[in-house]
Amino acid sequence: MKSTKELRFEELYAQHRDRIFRLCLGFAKGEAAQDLFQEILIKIWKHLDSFRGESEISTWLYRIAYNTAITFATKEKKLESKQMELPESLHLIDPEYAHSELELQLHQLYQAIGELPELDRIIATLLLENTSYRGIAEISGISENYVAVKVNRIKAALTQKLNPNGN
Amino acid sequence: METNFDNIQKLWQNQKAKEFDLPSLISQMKRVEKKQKKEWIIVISLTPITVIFLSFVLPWRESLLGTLSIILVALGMAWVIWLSAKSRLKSIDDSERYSNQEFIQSQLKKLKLRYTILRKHMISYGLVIALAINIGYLVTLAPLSLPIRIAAHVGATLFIFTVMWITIRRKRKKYDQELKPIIEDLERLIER
Repeated sequence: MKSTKELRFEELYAQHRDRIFRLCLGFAKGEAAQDLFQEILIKIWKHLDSFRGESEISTWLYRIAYNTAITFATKEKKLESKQMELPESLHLIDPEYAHSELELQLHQLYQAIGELPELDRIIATLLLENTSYRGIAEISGISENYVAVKVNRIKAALTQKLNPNGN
Repeated sequence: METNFDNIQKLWQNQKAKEFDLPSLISQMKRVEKKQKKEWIIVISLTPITVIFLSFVLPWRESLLGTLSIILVALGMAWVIWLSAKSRLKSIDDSERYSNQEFIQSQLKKLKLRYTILRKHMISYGLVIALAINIGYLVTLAPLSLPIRIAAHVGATLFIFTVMWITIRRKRKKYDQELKPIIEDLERLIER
């Protein structure tokens, strides 16, 4: 028989898995994104008992997810620099092998997000999930006003990167 | 720009999570939890077991100096366990309270603590252990001649400090290679 913790974890997984998976794609590529996804799930499981209800469960969940992603990205960067200094693009899916227009666009979007500084990446991925400025401020730890300033810059940067001709 | 960004949002939300074997992950995590509990119990009981062992096996407990030596070893061990627990990076117990910026600050603090442990606390720990061993020797080596006793005291002290010096040097090199880049990266992420 499943424990209360197990049932709660499964419920959270069902509700938030897509969003967590997408944030992983904003911080890591290919297999590394899957590893990060698993690492986040492990952290959520590990700390589920310590959730005290002082904030929304989603805020708690995404704080864990983003904090894990930041640590993961820092470690990954160190690993990458240790390796044979491969060009960044080699780690990505080759656009020529993308199966559809949608995949190609997604590939370009991940690349554009991946080029943003880490804090901007957090804000960008939250913004893409329709998170309110207040929610972004709570998760990232910067003021709502500063979030608003950052959001404008990020929107402009992403739109420019994905649509350089402005069409 | 809004329309463009709306399209980007739709594109982003189009991506769904890949198939994932959740039941096997849950059972793995349960196993790990059990194992970690066992390991923690072992670590926690190690200090009292060592102290009890020392106090019963060695003929020190009869004298005040012997007791003092045992207390110093126990304090040294407890201190090391406390420091290493404090500098553990993996724990994010307070994530509910920590925003991303606060989390980065806390991680930085932990990483920097590891350097402080190496620079200051390891030397202090070496001093405490050397002191404890020398106090213990005052009791256990009492029946031996003075030159042998001096040689034992000097030898033990030199041995402890040589081991400490080699350990600190090695760790420092390792930290410079592994921790320094992470510290620099995390410092860069702090919004001032």
